[in-house]
Amino acid sequence: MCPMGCQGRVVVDEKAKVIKAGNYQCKKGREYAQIEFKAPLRVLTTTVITEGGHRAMLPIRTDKPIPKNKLKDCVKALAKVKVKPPIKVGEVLFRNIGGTEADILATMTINKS
Amino acid sequence: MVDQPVDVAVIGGGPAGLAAAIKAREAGAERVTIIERSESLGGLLDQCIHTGFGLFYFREDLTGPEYAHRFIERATDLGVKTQLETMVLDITSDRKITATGKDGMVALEARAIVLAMGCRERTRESVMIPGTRPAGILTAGTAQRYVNVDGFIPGKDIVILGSGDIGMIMARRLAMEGTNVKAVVEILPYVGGLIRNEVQCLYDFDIPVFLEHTVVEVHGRQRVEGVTIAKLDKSQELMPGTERLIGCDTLLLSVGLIPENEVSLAAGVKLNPLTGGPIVDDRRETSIPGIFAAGNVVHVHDLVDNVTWEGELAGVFAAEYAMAKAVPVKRRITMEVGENIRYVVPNHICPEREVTIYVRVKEPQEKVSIKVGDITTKSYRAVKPSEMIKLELSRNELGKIKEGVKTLIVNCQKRGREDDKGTGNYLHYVSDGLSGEGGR
Amino acid sequence: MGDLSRADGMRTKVAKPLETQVVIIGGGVAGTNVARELSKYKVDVILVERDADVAAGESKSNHGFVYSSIGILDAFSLVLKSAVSGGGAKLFDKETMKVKWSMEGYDLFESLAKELDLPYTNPGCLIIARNKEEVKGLEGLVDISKIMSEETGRECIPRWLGREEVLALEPNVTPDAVCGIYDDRWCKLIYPWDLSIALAESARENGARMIFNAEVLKVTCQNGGFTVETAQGPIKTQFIVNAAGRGVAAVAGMAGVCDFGLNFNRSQMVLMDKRLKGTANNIVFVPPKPGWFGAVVPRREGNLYVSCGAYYPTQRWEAENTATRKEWFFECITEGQRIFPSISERDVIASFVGVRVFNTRNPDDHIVEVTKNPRFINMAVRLPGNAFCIAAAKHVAEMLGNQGLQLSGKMDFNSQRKAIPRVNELPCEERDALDACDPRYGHIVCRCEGVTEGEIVEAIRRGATTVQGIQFRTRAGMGRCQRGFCGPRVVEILSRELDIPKTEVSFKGPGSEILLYRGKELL
Repeated sequence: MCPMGCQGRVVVDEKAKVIKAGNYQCKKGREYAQIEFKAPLRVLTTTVITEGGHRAMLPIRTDKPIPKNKLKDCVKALAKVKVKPPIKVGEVLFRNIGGTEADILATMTINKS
Repeated sequence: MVDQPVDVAVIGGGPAGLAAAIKAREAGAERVTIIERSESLGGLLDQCIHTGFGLFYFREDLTGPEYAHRFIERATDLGVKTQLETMVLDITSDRKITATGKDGMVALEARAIVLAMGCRERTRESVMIPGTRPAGILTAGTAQRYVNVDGFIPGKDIVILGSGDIGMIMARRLAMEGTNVKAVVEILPYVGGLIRNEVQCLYDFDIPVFLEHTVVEVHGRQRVEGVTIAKLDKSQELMPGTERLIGCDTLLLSVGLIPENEVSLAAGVKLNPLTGGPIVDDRRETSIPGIFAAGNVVHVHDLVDNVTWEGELAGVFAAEYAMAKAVPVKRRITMEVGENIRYVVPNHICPEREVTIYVRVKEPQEKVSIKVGDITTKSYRAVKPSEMIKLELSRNELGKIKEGVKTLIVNCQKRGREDDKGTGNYLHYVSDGLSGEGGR
Repeated sequence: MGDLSRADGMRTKVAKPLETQVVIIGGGVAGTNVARELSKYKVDVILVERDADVAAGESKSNHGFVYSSIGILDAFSLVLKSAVSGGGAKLFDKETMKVKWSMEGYDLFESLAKELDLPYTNPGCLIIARNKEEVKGLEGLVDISKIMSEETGRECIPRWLGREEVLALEPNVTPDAVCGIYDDRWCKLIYPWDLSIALAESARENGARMIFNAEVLKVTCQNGGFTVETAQGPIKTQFIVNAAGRGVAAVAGMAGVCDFGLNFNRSQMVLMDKRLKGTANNIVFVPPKPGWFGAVVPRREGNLYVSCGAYYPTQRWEAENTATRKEWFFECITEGQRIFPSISERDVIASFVGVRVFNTRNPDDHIVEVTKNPRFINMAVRLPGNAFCIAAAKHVAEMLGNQGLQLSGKMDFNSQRKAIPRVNELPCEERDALDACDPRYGHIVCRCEGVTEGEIVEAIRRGATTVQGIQFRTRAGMGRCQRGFCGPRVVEILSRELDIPKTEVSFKGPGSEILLYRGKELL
């Protein structure tokens, strides 16, 4: 099930090795299916608390998908964070979150209140 | 209160309004103003912090605020004026706008108007859920604002009624904020929103889904203490004996969106009862010349990309109208709903240029052909009401419309040959058409 | 809840035992009327209310009729009631407190409404018949009106209307209407909560104090008075006026002066979108059946209020249960459609259940009397209450006077109360003028009802502490989106003006906080 919406099918042998993947609209689908089956990735989006900004919360994202099983830990870690404006959209707030090699970016510009 | 003359007045600063204002400026309109009742531009994109925006328009997977940012920047660069925290109270059919803001009453005389007010959410009362009236019942969009903008969590044991996109998105969001999302309850036998959300919001977080169920009672005097859900049979009647009580302190409702057309009605704009929005042509002009409409106010969209494209259309033609450069429509074809079609937007087209029409079906069907009159047929492996179908009609195809024909009927019928491969567009999975959701 | 004592007399926590001359128990239309009446005198008054605001019970969920106990509306309710409590008793008794004091109250209403700046309308009452049986029903009502006319000397016989006249009066009414009876003389229409709110403001302005979230837990009788134990602390007082609505018998019992029980019944009403404004010009009824009521009421700002359905007898333990039911929704709408076919469930914006209270000693009348404890007055008010309580308050003041309370008039009693401006209904120049004084009057918060921040802040200044409090004083949140848009903004304003964290802002008092946790608190 890729982000564009195609529902693919993956066939695996007893050793859980992908031997055939079908039913995609594009080449990327095949790769995606393999990743999704073995070690699914997700972009993390959440908010962090801002102090002294024109908004109470800053929405953030990872710049690339991270392993699904790391989402919870990253969210917990980010819960303790407080950021101070000014912050620009696209600014890198943290690098290599939870050892995933993904960075945390601000998705909104927050000015001082 | 001084009358301000304006070329194009855009009512609503969400994605539709932003797109319209930008294109109006690019098309040459000098004085373009967005009137927005909130504190900032972007509309609801501001609170949609998840990705899924711009997949088609930018070919990137952006969050709501990032998507909005690009248009806000462009609008600012182009010199689009904005009046924030200003609410339009009335529009006349000769395009005089009365609004109120912190600086008092505002009067604008617009040469063209684009209505881009979006939707409101259906409430508990409008779906008549019986029971008490405690605190803790919120629509999903309002909850989204509390969580993502204000930074507060409504409760910790959540039940969500409705599996449209906004419901699923909030299921994930609340689960990620540490709450216990105990159930998503859905009337239909299938999940209402995008399949991508079904996977990334419900399956990923092990949230139990109760299909063919609904909430039959709310309990709790001051605060929600629980809800009773029950199963529905095939004719959507409650099946006695299937009731179960789920303890919770919050009930989130994701039960439909309604285009907000109070201001449109004030202007005398004719509405289409099938969509809840104004009747529009392919330029997105309403029944009143010079008043255009785009986005969720016309019909509930699922992909913001389509909202943007619709806004752009309206903006271009509103500018043309404002600059008195509107090309008179020589021929008008009315689109009509045929078999298994709930609605078609736009309602009228001019067959002299290519046109994109948007269609929703009434009932799910498999292996169908959607026929537009006799000028084109597109095949689909499966269609459902929650999937908005986008059909691009080329000039060639439109050229096939015979002389003197005034209407085109859009039909959705089962295909004859079983081994037909689908050629239609899978990529536009949409949110729940029945509940009429916007995919966010 | 901290000690929020405020200079204007509103307290939610009592710092040390209070003392006063009169404690009024209950902030509904009865209690607030008494408070306002007593505030005309140099008498110290404290009103205690169990819930977070005035008009928390039936005073806000009744139809809003201010009627005089004569005329077709009362004939209607007599027939309805006779079916409920069983016939036998003479239907119209002009010697009842109900009839006498309702007429007095009705006569006083217009000037009171002027003093309080209380808006009201005067739609006519039209009762239609759709078949032979209903025509008989109309005849019965006319007969009762004739008796009322004779006995009271007030002309209250309705006019008969033929089918054409009915349709001319109400073009949208059901085509099944064959004839009707009409009268517009003996009933006015308000938003029920408006009356209690206006009275409370006027009373407080003139020195009455009010304490909320102060359920009465115990009453101890001492020489020359009582100690009233409330959830907010104890109050020593000389006199008690018990106007506790559904709780009136329980409170009377605490003082050992309860010689009646209570019966209840309830029914559901549905509120329709303002879009339907103009559907009905008058209050349109159909003749009542045993324990069954059918009316469509056009409220002042345009909402249709549909009250069609059975009156269900309710056990005492269920008297606080105001849960709506699906079957009652449909009953209400279906019957409403039989009066106005254009009513549709698509236009429902709210629904609630009203509970009516009757005393068992004399179900056909109110009890307003000095009890065997001469300083304790019971006010077991039933319907119709709005007009009745205006007169009852004066009689209660008299009773207190007779029992030794010194009633000397206040020289500086200010009878005039100005309502919060309803900006949405003001012409442009007035809106501009308001905005020039306070730009918050230009900032719309509730888009469905057009309510500005200025009005909301003013409502808080006048005592609103909850979301519902704002709702009833300004209409913010009463519209079709039911707080979907203005909810977060109203929470923000309450938090800011009351200087409390958002997690303490409640919907209708303690236990109904809207936001339970701060972000990230659960992680």
